[in-house]
Amino acid sequence: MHQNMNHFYDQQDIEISLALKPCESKIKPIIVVRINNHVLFEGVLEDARTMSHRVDLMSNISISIGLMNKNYHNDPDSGVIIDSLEIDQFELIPSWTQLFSYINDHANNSPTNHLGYNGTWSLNIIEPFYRWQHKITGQGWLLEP
Amino acid sequence: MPLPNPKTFCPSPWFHMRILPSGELRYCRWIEDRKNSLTSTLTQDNFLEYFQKEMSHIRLKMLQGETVSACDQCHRMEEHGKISGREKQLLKVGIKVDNFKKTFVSSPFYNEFKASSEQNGDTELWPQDWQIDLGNYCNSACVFCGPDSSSRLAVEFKKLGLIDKMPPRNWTDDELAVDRFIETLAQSKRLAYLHFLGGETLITPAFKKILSKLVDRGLNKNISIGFTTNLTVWDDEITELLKQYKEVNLGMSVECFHHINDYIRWPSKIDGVFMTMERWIKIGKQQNWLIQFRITPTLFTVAHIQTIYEYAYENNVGVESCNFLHNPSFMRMLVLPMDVRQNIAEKLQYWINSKKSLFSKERIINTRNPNKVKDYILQDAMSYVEYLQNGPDESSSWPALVSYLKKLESSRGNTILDYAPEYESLLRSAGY
Repeated sequence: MHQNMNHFYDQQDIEISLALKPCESKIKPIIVVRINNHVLFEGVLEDARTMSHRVDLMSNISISIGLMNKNYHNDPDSGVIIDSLEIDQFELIPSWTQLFSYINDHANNSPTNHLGYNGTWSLNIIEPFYRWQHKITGQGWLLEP
Repeated sequence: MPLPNPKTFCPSPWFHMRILPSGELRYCRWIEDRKNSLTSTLTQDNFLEYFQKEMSHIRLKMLQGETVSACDQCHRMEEHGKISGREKQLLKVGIKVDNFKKTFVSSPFYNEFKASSEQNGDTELWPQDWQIDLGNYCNSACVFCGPDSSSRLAVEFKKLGLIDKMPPRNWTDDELAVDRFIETLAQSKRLAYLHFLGGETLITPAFKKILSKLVDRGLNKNISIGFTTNLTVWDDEITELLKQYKEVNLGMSVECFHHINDYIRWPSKIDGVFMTMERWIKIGKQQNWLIQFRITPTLFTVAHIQTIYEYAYENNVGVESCNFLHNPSFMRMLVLPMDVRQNIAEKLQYWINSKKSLFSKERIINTRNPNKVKDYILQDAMSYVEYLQNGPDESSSWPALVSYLKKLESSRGNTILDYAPEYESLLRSAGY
């Protein structure tokens, strides 16, 4: 093998893609979207938008969306809806909302893809993605050497 | 290490092995052709040497993308849309054929594959997933079975001149060997699953002994037990022992609820089989055990497997047919004439279609997922439709079949015509 040739396992990553949109409201939400400490978006979400980010195949994955500075009195309806979230084409939202934690100032922790309270909606995958996917999709044993 | 061939790679030699009834060792539970698999002078007493060193050339072949000839059963199953042992073993280490590259690298065993590729196939791992053939003690003498797996059939075969000598002694007859084996299991690293086969497991003394000794050692809290029974016997002591294990996978051997069972799984009677089955299902559901039918359809039972599928579907009991029947070749469903095969396939397809609204398109590899039982039943049934329609024509085997049946019937005093009169003309034309 040529010394500069990459091994098949050297250059593999996975794509995380998101589609968000603001709720119908006069005031648009202020959000911050992070994947593994990389800020994909920060500011006022004026319109629907998609975003994506690539991470190493074997890395842990931390995804979070924060909603900030919402004034419940002036702006009861504003918020953000996560239309879709896929990791390597595996659809997590809308199918798997129960896996995401939503810590907010109303202590409403029901599974949702609609963020209407100030707080952070997040998912932390603390092992390589495909091992995690194996477990959550009921693929049975995952033996360890 | 280059990427192995997704069509042939199997991780099984890194975590699985099998003990045959004689105590000989094999690297895979799905290999049917024993002559074509690795032979060893080693036995259960020194299985680690066999696993870590003698199996190295199999691991190397897997890593180098070679086709291992003994793996042809799995390749045949995949060809006909059946979930193969290879696919199941891949899944146990997190690898999926349809996303091979990424899941291979993500596998917890990836570094072990790399290490073996650099060490001539050797590994320092221990087997975690065992099939333990306890021996051939069996109260049944199924027509499609053999003397290595049925003591009753062995006696009959010897009497009829179908074999020259009796099979080797069961390794579990040697109590010291069983003790030594239990001792080495207790020392195993990451022991996960023991699947026991007979003969009939429930009448084999070593089954109860091993279950009991593993409980004494406290291993029952961490390992899963699987076993297969022919539904003709019951043992309260064994069921009580099983209740103490972390997980139990129970396989029930029966192909159909039709009186042809009484001929094929001689001398069992289908009414008694059904009663024992319901008893197992009841206790299994109480204990949250995984219960599955283990079917081995033959040319005489394939037309009736729908009876099992229907019961299983309605009662949410799994069905798992491990292999297409390999030996005896004249008992394969492919021996039926093409028009008969087509007719059976169409009826089975009709049954599948009657459930179609619930049939997921997803290919289910984890046959033990309780949420996918119904889908998997339909998938399994579909594999037989495909096999009946597209498998090779083996109808030239009728004379061999008839010769065999006549010998058995001379000993048993029965006749296939009482059970399968629809095949009379085929049987007669082949010399019956």
